[in-house]
Order: sequence, then C-alpha cells, then structure tokens
Amino acid sequence: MKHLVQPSTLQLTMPLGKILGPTTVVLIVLLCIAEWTTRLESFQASLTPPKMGSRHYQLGQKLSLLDAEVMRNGPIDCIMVGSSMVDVGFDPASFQTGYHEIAGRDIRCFNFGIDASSASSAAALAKILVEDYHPRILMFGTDARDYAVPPEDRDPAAILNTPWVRYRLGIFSLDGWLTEHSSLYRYRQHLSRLFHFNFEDTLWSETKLDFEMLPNGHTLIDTVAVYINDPPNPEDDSFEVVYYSNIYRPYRLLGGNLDALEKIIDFNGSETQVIVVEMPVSDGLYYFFGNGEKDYEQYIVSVSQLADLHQVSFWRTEPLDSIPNDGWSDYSHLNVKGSGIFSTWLGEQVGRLEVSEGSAVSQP
Amino acid sequence: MNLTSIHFVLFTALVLGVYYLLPRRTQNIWLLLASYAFVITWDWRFAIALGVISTVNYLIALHVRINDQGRRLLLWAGIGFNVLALLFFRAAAFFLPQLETLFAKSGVPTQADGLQILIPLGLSYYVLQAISYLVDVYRGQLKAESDLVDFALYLAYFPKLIAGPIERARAFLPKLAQPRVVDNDVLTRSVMLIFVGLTRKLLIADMLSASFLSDVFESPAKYNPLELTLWLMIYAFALYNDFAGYTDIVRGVSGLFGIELSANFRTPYFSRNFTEFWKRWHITLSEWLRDYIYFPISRGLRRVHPGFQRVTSLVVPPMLTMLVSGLWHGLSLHMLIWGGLHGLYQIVERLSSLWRPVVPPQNQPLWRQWIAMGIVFTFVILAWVPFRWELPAAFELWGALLNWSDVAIRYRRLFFVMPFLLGSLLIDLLQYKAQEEFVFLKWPPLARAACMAVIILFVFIATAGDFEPPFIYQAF
Repeated sequence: MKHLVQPSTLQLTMPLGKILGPTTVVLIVLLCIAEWTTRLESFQASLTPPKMGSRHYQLGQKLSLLDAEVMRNGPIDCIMVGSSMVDVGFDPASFQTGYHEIAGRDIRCFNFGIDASSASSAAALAKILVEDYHPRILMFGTDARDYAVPPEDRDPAAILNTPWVRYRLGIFSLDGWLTEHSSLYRYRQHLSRLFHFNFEDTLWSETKLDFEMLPNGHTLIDTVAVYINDPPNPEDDSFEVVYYSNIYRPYRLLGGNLDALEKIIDFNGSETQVIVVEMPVSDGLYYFFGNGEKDYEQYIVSVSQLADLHQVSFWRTEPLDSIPNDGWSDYSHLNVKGSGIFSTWLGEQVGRLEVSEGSAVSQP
Repeated sequence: MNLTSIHFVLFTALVLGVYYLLPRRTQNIWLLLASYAFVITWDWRFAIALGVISTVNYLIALHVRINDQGRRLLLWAGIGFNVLALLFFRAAAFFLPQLETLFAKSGVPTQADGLQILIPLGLSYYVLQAISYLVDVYRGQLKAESDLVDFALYLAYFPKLIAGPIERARAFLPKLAQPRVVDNDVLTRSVMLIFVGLTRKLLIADMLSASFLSDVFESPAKYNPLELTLWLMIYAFALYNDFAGYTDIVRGVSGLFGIELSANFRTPYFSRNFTEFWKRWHITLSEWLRDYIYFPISRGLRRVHPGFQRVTSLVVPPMLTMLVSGLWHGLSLHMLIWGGLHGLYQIVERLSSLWRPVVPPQNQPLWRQWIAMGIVFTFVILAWVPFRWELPAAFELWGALLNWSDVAIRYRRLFFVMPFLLGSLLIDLLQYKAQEEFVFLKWPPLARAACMAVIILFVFIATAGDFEPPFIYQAF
C-alpha cells in the first residue's frame, strides 16, 4: 500500500476517498436544497428579516422593507440615512404631501435611519444604498451626535464592524461574502435560534417590537415629553440624561466622522443629489453641552463649511418654529406629530429646490 | 476555549500539524506545552494550580518509591494534599460568595471579585488521577514515573483535561512511552467518535437543554406530573448526551494524536440493575470509586472485624462509596442525597442475595430484562431530581409527582423536543443491539457519507446562534 505521508505517527493510505468523496457530494446537494428553501418566499414570510450579521435588528429589517417596496412599486426616489433621530423623525408620507404641494407630483422616499449610528455608519450605508437602489435624492439627516467622539471611542451602532458592511466597503471576509451571496447563511442564525426554542425575534408571530415600523421605514413613536425646554435635573440618572451628558458634556468633533460626511457628500452627482439636513432638536438639548449653544454652533459651522465647499445643500431647521412642545418624545427625538410637521416642511423644501432648478435632477 | 468552538478546531489543527512532524519524545513536550496553553486560554492561574499539583505529586511518588520507612505516611500526605486542594477550591467557591453576601448585608464593604475563587479547570478530574497514581505506586502496581514531562502530561493532557475521562497512570503512561500510530483505522474511528459526539452534544443535548423553561428548576410545582415526568426525561437525556457527547469528542480528538482514551458510557439507560448502571455510566469515575473507595472499605471492614456480617458488607461499602461520589459532584446536601439514593438502590437490589443466588440479568427472560430496564430508568431519573434541583425545589418536584389529577400537556415544546430524545434512544439502541460502540462503521460507505453530511449541515446551523452552553460535567 502506498503511504500518503510517512512520518512516524501519521500513516494514512489511499482508501480514504471512499467516504470523503460521497460525503462532499451529499453535503453539496444538501446545501443547495437548503439554499433554495431559504430563498422561498413562503419560507421567508413567517420569519423576521435576517440581521445581516449585525446586532441591530433594524439593519436587516429596513433592507427587507426597502426590497419589498422596490419589488412592489419600482425604484425608490429618495432615501434618508441617519441615526434614530431620522428613524423616528422622518415620515416619508408627510414628506410626499409637502413635496406634492409644491412640485405637483409624487415622490417615494424611504427612511433608513438606524439607532445609534454615527456619520461613519451612515456613510457606509449610503454607499451600499446608492449602489443597490440608485435613488435620485440621498438625504442625510444629521445631528451633533453624528460627529461627537463616541463613548469608549467606538461606533455605538457597530454597523462598521459588521462583516457584510465591511465586505460591501471592499474589505473581504468569508463571513461578509457568504452573507452577501447566500440566503442560507443569512438565515443560519434564525434557524439556530429556532432549533433552540428561541422564537422571539425570529418568528413574526412571536416577535413583539417596541415600536411599530411602517413599510416606508419610519418608526412610529407616540409618547410625548413634557420637559423638553427645561434643563435636566442633575440628579436624574435615567439612560437618556446620562447618555446625552456623556456625549455632549465634553463635546469634541471626531475627524473621522467629518471625513464620513465628506464621503456622503461625494455621492452628489448627475444621478444622485445629496442633501444634508440638520435634524431638529429641542431647546432643552443645549443644556447638555458643556458650552451650550456655542458647542452646537461648532458642529453647524463644520458641516456648513464642508457642504459649501462641495456645493451641496445644507438645510438648517433651527428656524422651524412650528414643532410644538408636544411634538417631541425626548430632547432630540420627534414623535409622530413632530415628525409629520418636520417631514412636510422638508418635502416642501425639496419641492422648491427641484422647481427652482427646473427639475433637472427630479425625474428619471 | 470551548470544545465545540471554531477556536478549538483551529487550536487542535495547529497542535496536530506540528505533532505529526515531531519524534516521540518531542511530541510529549509539544503536547505538554499545548495543554498548558489550552489551560491558559481559560485562566492563567489554572496553569499554576495544575503545575503545582503535578510537581508535588511527581515528587511524592518518587519518594514513596525509594523511601521504605515513611512510605505510608508519604502516601497519606500526598492523598491529603490532593483532597485538601480539591476541598479548598470547592469550599472557597461555595462559601466565599455566601460570606460576601453576609458582609454586604452587614454593610461591610468587600472588593469587587475579592472574595471570589474560581475552581481550576478540570481540578476534580486530575486530582483523582493523581491520587490513583500515588496509590498505585505505593501498592507497587506501577513504577513512579521519573520523567516529569510524561507525568505532567498525564495530568494535563488537554483533550481529557476539562472533564475526563479519568485515566489510570498504569494505562496512560505506557501510551506516552511508545510511538503512536494514526493509520486509516484509527483515523476513521476517531472521526466517527467526533461526529457521534457532536451529534450528541450540539444536536441532542443542547437542543434538549434549550427546551427547558427556566421556572421548571425554580418552581416545579407549577407543572403537572405528566409534564414534570417529561421534563425529567428530557433532563436525563440532556445530561447523558452532554457528557457522552463530550467524551466522544475528546476521545476522537485524542485518537487523532494516536492516544486512545477510555470510554465513559455504554448505553447506561439500558441497564437492568443499578450495579450494571454504574458499569455503564461515567465508567472511569465508577471504576475509580470501586478501586480506591469501595474495595478498600470492604477490605478494611474485613480486617477490622474478621467475622463481620454479610449485611454490613452489603450496606456500608456501597453507601459510603456513593456518598463520596455525591460529594465529589458537589459539596452540598442535595448532591449527598443523590449519592445516598444510589447507595440505597444498590443496597436494596442486593438484599435478595442474602437468601438466594443472584441470576445475572443477561440470563433472565427478555421480558424481565425490559421491565428491569424500565424500573432502573425510573429510579435513576427520580435520583436526578436532587442532582439538578436544589433541595426545597427537589422535594417540591417529588411531591408534585404524586398528584396525577391533571395530566394535560400545555407546552408545545414538549412535543417538539421528542424527536431529539428519540434520536438519542436510536443511537443507543443501535449500539446496544450490536454491543459495539463503532457499529456505524459497519454501515455501507454511502449511508455513512450521507449521515456525516447531514450532521455537518446541522452543526453548521446549530453553531450559528447565541446559545453556547458549556458541558455540564465541566462544572464538577
């Protein structure tokens, strides 16, 4: 018998292939069947969307909703990226109303705000969304937190650490590649949870979301904060107060996040128009900044300068006085009422812009 | 580094790759280094504990061999050292958190983690190996190992470190002293063991464990007796498959190094009496207890009371042995009760031997064998109650099993989990009927290939989630 390897310990001979070959063939067949099954609409319908390797359920859910919207009604006109302030504050339906009022035609937008994401995360997602969905308008709803040095110097949304996002940004990993190309791989975690009787977040029938998310990506919050114009109580140790204090008390702009804004602005071109919008905040938020409104201005000036430099629209919302006191769910998040007012205003603004530009970029 | 993690796969692959290129003597040094590296991945302090215990036992054994005068004293000093080490860590891990709670209640500040002591990885297992080694050297059944590397490797060998099997030095050390061969046959058997082990652990035990609702362990009286019976059966099979799966995996991994480890399980739930159960369940521990507790007690009783009664010999050795077994599993009253119950079972089943000869189970009619299996299984799972449940809950559960007025099954998962329980039974039934652990190797190549492919696919899926329970016996 012919020895494959012959040091003193390992003494293997040829007949190994008797098992290895058929196992590989059967495994490939099984993987193909499993891949085909996980691509079936009936399979996917009862399961929540895969998380794409992210710890954020919103990433997978919004991608899935956006895909469904495009399948149903064709290509999307505009997408807004940003943090949770966008997620709860941008209402595409009200936006369409405002836009229609001015431009006299419809526009379909999608809300792609992801909780806790920074400008860097938004830039990464913007790249993927522009490449895959080709919107004619890309809006970035921005706020001071987008550029702040995050606690522990890391991206709280961890979007940038997701192998799939990194793969889409050009950093190869097997995990990212498999997530992009294999439905079985994307649903693998779901299947594992089902095997282990963990039905929450996996089966739609067992999932209880904290807030309702509409098919256009807008998350509805109907709570009303009554304290938004008052300074925070220094003894208040609620998550909201501690979180804002940690971020804004020593407010510093992170260079990397400003670079990310520049990357978003770079998408501005003949196919896609980029608009940067200041997300509205309540007067109470200024109390969290170490230097009050001076710190806030620092962010506004930096963003304005970059936008001006690249000749991109940056719209302030500070003059937007029409958001009433009951339009907030906390210091910086709009509720359903507030988001409706803000989004209608934004739709009107975009309508005016397109009308004034002679619809040069408005119609495909 | 969990044994079912990708890190362990990569670690083993790296160790194997180098191992195959080295000559025998260097292979042992390499394995020792790898074993300590493996320990350090858990906690570097565990390596210190292992190193100290290895060195002390090595030196004591050398002196037991050459010192004729104080041999007995040295042996007891060695045994005392090992037992104290075990008791120290066990007691510290048990009492210090309670002490901390007491301090906290009294308003006495304690440092964070200041009163916490981790039990070194595998301590309970390598301490037993060290004791058996000292006793064997003392009895002259084994020459004291002069090579510190080989002896240290005997205790530290990473495939068996976490939870055994508890190897005897007289069987293990000779394997380290001779060249190892991994040929097609060894490779096939090792791979089969790994596949069966992964199936038992990831596809059966973890699945069964995940089906438990947390309050089953906290307030069992919330469930009706039929549900509790099913939970108990599920626990019994989860525990068995978890430990048997672990053992199969480590035996398979060790086989890849050309070092065969002992079997720990032989279809235990098909036992026809309790003595047979302990010959089939955690075999290496049972044999250790038999050789170093049961037999010495029996001999001691005969020596102290030459005319001692048969009844005493029936009662004392099994009861004491099983109580020691209970305490080895945990310094707690409920573990003591678990051991005591098994001691009692063995005493009761041997009582009839006082007035009539014992018929070996295999010589009894088949129907009696199956009934006996049912009885043994029932009493074994009743004994698992204090093994798993803390005492008040254990009594609550036993009490709830007595009232069979409500028998409606209200939890769907109890139905869903049954195929996995039956899967475990099927594996055992095939092995039991063939009286051969490697029965699957007799299957046609295509059937084996299909099974392996299915297992790979399911393992690929099962390991994707956030459910990664450690091996249950790792905690003992």
